[in-house]
Amino acid sequence: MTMAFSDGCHHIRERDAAYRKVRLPVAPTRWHHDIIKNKIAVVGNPVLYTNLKSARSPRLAKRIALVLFATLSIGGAYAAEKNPQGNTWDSVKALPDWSGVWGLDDASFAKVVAASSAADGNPNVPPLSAKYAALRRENGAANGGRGPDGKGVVTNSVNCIPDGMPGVMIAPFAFEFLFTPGRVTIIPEDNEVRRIYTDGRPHPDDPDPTFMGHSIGHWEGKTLVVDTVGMLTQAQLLVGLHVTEKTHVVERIFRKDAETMQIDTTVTDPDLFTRPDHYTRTYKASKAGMVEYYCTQNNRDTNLDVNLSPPTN
Amino acid sequence: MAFSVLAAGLPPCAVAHHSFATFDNTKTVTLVGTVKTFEWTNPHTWIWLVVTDAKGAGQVWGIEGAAPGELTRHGWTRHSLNAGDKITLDIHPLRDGRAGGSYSRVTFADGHSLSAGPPPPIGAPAPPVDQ
Repeated sequence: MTMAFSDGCHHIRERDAAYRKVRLPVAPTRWHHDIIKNKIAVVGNPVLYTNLKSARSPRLAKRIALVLFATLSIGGAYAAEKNPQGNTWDSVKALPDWSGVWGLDDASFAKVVAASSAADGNPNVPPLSAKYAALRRENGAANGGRGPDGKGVVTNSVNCIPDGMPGVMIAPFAFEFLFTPGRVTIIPEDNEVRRIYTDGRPHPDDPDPTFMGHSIGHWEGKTLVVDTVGMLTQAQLLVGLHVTEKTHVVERIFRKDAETMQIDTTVTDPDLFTRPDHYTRTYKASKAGMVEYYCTQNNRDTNLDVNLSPPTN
Repeated sequence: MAFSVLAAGLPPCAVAHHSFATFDNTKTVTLVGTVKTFEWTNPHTWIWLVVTDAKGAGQVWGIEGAAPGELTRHGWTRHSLNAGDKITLDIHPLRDGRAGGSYSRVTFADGHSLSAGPPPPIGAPAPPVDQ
């Protein structure tokens, strides 16, 4: 299939291409050869990405190493101090402390409920295009979520299907962050792991669609900016509303205070929305830790045919 | 008294996995009964409650609640309910009329209670708008 990216992705590809054109005359050292030998992209500049595997000749490899070294020498030292990207273990140490477990707070949950199930015209409902507003009325989400037959809307999770992006970030599951070089990993309780590459790589031109999509990120000070595309159209935005091939999600994630993480999200999709949908959700630190969740353990709600046979043991 | 119905106009409950409408969230039914089993399971916890009617006949109700993770963050543990506990349970009944629902609060014989999730209080104004 052909992915149709929205404008937000084009600038990333263009930026990436621009950085590949950098040429600076610096003599090679043994250190450069180590980089080439180990195929490690040492990135001092947050947005430089060079795939060393593409170096088909020693000459080209040397040139790539030169670019890397020059970037590190000229801009890297400054960048490493002022705007760490977490691409080395030392750089990871300079990132903000997001340890702990974070769960959607009650006020944000109430907003999710309103955005999911309120009638057309409710200011919490996203700016839906006529086509999707009609779909939402048809499937009953817009009627307090009562569904077409009053039984409710069959959501992904009713049938133990992942929410996917961006719905997983507004579900009532806590999550935790892991920082490793070149990557931020978000692990929600329901095991929909998000891998956010911060090593400067672009999105693939034609990613295989997945529930979680393809996420790249960079740090702007203490804010992680995450750009996600390539979701399966099974992925859910809200109750009764799924993403399309054009859905593009940008999140700004930061620690608001000691007890609160905040995520400001912008979802753009020319088919779904008449304008970008912006929402803010906050997450409270939980001392309870992560709690295991496997949906298939005791799901009595498949297709909303609630199974009321009491347990036998 | 087996149960009473309160037309509460409650907002949707914590059983967020649903479309908020499998249960009639505009009604709160209060059940008084004895816990048969408390299933501390995913994707939802279940309270199986024996409710005795005016004629003395017992009926088992199946009442679904938030996942263990969400309940843990609201102060519950898997030991919060035990077989034999006599409790009062606020539930939103299933729309199809069967003996089931979703629970929002449990009150124990000694008067203390546990909330089962994050619904805003009755009559709460609509949440603030982002845009």
